[in-house]
Amino acid sequence: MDDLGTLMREAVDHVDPMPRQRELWDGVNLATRRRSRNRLVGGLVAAAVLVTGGAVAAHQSSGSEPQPAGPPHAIDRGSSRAVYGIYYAGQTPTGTRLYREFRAGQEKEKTLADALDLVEATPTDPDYVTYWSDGQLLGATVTNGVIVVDVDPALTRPGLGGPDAELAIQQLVYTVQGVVGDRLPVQFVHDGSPVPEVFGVRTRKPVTDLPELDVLSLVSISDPSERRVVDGYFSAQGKASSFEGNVPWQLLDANGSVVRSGHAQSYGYEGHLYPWATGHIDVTGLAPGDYTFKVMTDDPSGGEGPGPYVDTRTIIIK
Amino acid sequence: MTTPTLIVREVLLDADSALEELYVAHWRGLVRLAVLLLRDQGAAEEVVQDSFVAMHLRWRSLRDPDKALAYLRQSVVNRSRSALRHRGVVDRYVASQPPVLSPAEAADAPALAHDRRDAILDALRALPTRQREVLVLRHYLELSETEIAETLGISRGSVKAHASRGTAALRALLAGAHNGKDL
Repeated sequence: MDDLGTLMREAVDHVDPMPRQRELWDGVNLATRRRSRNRLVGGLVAAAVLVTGGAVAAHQSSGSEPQPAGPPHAIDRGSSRAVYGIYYAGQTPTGTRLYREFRAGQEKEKTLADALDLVEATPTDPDYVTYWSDGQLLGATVTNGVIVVDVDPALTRPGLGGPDAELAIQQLVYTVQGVVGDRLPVQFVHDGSPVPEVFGVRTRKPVTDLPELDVLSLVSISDPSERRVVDGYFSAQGKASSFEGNVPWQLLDANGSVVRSGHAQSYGYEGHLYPWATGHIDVTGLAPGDYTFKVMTDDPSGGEGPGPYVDTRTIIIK
Repeated sequence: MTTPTLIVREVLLDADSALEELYVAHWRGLVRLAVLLLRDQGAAEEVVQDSFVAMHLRWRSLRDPDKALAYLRQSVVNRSRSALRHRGVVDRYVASQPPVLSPAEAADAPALAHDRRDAILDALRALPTRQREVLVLRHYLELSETEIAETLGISRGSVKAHASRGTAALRALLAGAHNGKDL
């Protein structure tokens, strides 16, 4: 480590920026809307050309947008370790579903191997569990557009399984798809050959992800992480599919009394989960100690339906 | 005919997740990078926020978190340079800065760490923009010459030249500060 690098790191070590998730999503929302509008106009023009017989031109114009110059490849040499969105199982009003927890891996670079270790590890949030235990997931690679996962042959015996077997498979599928950043199919193998079943679920062919609304909790918290220490303020973000994009949240003290509450907004709610963020939550004036941050889906049925989906995190106010 | 809405939704999905993950992993680090380039933390946060929004829009062509991180860094460097061109930032900076390198003032300053921070940030600010960028990418991010050249869109030869001149200038500035106080 060179001296100038050390001096520079020292100079900014104390910089702890304000969280800005809400502003970030507002910016994205604005930019995305602007772009969708432009695309819609493009689509109408394309349709008009098609009607007047210019089919070839219409086809060429669909979905084309200026491609920015590719950025250079650079290796992450930041001081932080790679962060993974790992899916774990937890209870919801409609049975067990998957929640996502952000975990740091061992390496600076993101690797599938690191992610598999985290799938087998105990979740940080005590409300979650994992279906996979140590040594069951032996490795993973991406080959020809398929994520190939090597599993312990003991898992492939016929007759295993249970009510959550399908969800266990989806836990892994969602996690590895997240790591590669693409919804690629997942092939389970051992010694290079596809295995006929895992946990009793048929796996001879590659497995794909089931729809989010069937598999995931309809609300989950990405940040703060469990037992995060908070000083003065914090903000929260996550994903939800909640009626009209309304995501109510509460901060509860150790006695379960609500000490802060509000609503976050996601910019959509149909078809899949959308990001929500709270903006700054001021906690000055609250006594130091453990608090529970709770988010819910909005429940317009007034209690007649299964009830709201909920996710919680413990935070520690300094 | 294709169904564009479906395609848009699929791409957005990935872009949202990517943004969320990259935010959790790199928000703080990128703001620190921008502080080294800009000095002003508020402006640094703005620059990084805009870079994240731009990354989200470009996700279709990035698709890979490593590429996205490289794009974010490039965007932070470019946007920091633009921000510095706006006199407002410079004026705010000048107005908010006491003459930190003044030996008399430094002699009885209580916090040594604070002085060291100010000294390096002041020295970086005093460098020409390209030299500052090259030095920060090289020493703070530990990028290779090739990576710096790609990030800044300049030749490797230029990187070498800026690095060598910048290092000499930075050491001279720091030595000046050192004479005034115990760096």
